Amino acid sequence: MEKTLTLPRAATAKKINMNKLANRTLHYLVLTLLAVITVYPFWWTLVTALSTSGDVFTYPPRMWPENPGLDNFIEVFKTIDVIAFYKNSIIISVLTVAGTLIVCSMAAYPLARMQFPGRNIVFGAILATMILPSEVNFLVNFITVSKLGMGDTYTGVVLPGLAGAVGIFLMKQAFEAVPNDLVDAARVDGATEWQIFWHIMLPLARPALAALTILTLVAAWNQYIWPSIVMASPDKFPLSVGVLYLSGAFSFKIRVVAAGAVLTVLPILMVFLFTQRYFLRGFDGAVK
Amino acid sequence: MAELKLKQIKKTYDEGPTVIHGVDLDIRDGEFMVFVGPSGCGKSTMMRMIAGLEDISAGEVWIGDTLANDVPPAKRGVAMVFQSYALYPHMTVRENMAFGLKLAGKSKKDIDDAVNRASDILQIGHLLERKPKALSGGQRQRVAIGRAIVRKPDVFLFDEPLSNLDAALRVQMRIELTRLHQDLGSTMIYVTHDQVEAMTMGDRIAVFNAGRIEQVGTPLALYQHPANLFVAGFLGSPKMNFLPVSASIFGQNTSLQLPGGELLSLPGARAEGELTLGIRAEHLRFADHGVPVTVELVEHLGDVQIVYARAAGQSEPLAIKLASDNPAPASGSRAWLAIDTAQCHLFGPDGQAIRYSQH
Repeated sequence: MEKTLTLPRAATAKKINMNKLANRTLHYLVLTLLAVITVYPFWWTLVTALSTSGDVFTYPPRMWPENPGLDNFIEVFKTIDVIAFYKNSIIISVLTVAGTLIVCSMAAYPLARMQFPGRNIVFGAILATMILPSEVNFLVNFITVSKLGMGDTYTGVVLPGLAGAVGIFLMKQAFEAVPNDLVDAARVDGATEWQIFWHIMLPLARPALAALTILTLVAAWNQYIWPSIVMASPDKFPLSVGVLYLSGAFSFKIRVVAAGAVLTVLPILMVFLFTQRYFLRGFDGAVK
Repeated sequence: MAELKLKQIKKTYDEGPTVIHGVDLDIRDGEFMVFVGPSGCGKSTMMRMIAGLEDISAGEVWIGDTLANDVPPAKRGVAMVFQSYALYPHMTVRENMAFGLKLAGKSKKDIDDAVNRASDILQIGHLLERKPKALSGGQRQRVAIGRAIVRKPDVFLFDEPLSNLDAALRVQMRIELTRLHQDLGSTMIYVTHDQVEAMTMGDRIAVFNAGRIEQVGTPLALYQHPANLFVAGFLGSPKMNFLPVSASIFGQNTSLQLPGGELLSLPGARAEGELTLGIRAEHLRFADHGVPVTVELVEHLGDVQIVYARAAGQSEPLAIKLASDNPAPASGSRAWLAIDTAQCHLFGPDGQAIRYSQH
C-alpha cells in the first residue's frame, strides 16, 4: 500500500524538478542572449580601440584585439583637448543633476502630498510629455534659450531638461510612500510645509533621489544633439560632442574615434557600476 | 496644563458624510479622559481635530483660555502619540525627541536637558543614539511618549498607543502611562477601542458611537449605570446579557415577563411595555429553580469560568460568570438561572436606560 502511494509521488516530485530546471535554463538562455546583444556593440568598440593593426570591418567580427595597445588612446589625447572636454561634461552633468533633483522633488511634493483642484490634470499633463521624444522640443527650446540670451552657455544646455516627467513621477511615488503619521507628527512638532519637505520627506526619499541622480547623470553625460545645437564655441563642448572632432574632414580614423568613445563612456560606466545597487533600490519602491 | 472644552463640534467631509454630529465635552485640567468606542465611531477624528490635524467643520475647541480652531497644531500646546509611533526613521532617538524643540528654536542646552530628563523618566537613556529600526516595539513606544514629554505640552493626546504591542507589554505600558499621568499631572486624552484600557486608565470615559458621545462618566459609573443599551453592551467582558421582556406595573413593583413566560418582580421600578432587561454575567447564578436554560459551553479562565447557556427561544446565549471553585454544570445539561433583581438594568424601546431606585 505504502509503495503504491510513494512511487507516484516521487515521480511527480521529479517531474516538478525537471520542469523547474527547464524553466530556469530557458530564463538564463534568454537573459544571456539579451545581455550579449546589449553588450556586444560596446565590446566591439573596445576591441576596435585597443587593436593597433588589421581591418576594422571583418566578417565574422573580431572578438579579441589584434596587437593590443594604447596607441589609439594616445592619438585621441594628441588630437583633442580631452581634459577640457571632460571638465565641460562634468560641469553640465553636475548642474543637470543638481537642477533635476531640486526641480523634480519640488514639483513632485505638492502632487503627492497636497490637495488642490486640478492636481490630477497637472500630473496627467506631465506624464503625457513622456510620449513625445525629446527631439520634438529642440526647436522651441532652442528659440527660447536663444531669446533668453542663453545660447552658447552651460545654462542653455542644462535648463530645458530639468523638469522631466520621469523624475517627477519617481519622486512623487517616493513621497507617497512616506506614512501620513510621520507628516502629522512633524506638523504637531511644529514643522512648516517647507520643513516637512526638507527634514522629513527628502531624507526618506533618499533611495529615489539616488536613482534619479544616476539616471540623470547618465543621460546628461551622454547627451549629444542638444549640447551640439546650443553650444557654438568648441571650447565649451562636452566630451560627447568633442569626440566628433576625431573624425576630421579628410581623414576618418575609426580606431581613434572608437578610443574616444571608450574614453567618453568609461567614467559614467564606473560611476554606474559602483552605484547601481542604490539605483535599483530606488526603483524598488517606485515601480513594484 | 489646561482644561479643554469642546462645544458642538461637527465634522463633515467635503460632499461626504458627517462623521461627528455635535459633540459637547468639558475635560478638566489634569484629567485623564478616555475616548472609547468601536472602530469608525469618530473618536480618532475627534482627537485629530483637537490636535489640529483635521479642520473643524463647526463648533469650537477651547484649550485653556484660547479658542484653538484656527491655531496651528504646534501652537496649541498639545503633543500627540500615534498608534504607529510615527518616529522619524532617519533620525536617532535623540534627534527624534529633539526635533520639535529644535524647530521651536530652543537652545542646545535646553534641548539636551529636556531630552535627558524625558529619557530618564522613561528609562531610555541607553537608546538615545540608536535609530528607530534598532528598537523593539515597546522601546519605540517609549520614544514616542518621550517625544511628547519633551515638549511639555498642556494636553497629551494618545491615539491608540498600545494597540501594536503584545499583551504582556500592553499591561505594563498601561501601568506606566497611568503612573506618568500621576507624575506629570497633565491633561491627557486617550483614544482606544479597548474597554479594559478605558476602564483601568481613565479618570473619566467618553463612550463614542457613530459620531456622538453616548455617555461620559467615571469608569465605575458607566459600568454600573449605563445610560443606554450601547454603553451597557460595550463596557464589560463578557458583555451584558440582554433579554426582551414585557413589563407591567403591580403596586410598587414592576413585573417582567421573560421570553420563556417566567415572571420576575423588580422592586422600585415603574415601567410598562416591551422593554429590554440587561443583566451582567456576574449577577446570574445557577439555582434549583428560575429561568430554564441549556448549557452550551464552559470557558475556564483560571480565576473565573464563563458559562454560556441558552434560554428557550433566544438567539444569543446568556453568559454567566462563576468563581472557578464553583461547580459549573456540564455542557449540554439543563439548568436553572437565578437573576439578582437588585442588579438589573431596564432599557426602553428607544434604548435609553429606565432609572429606578434599586434596593
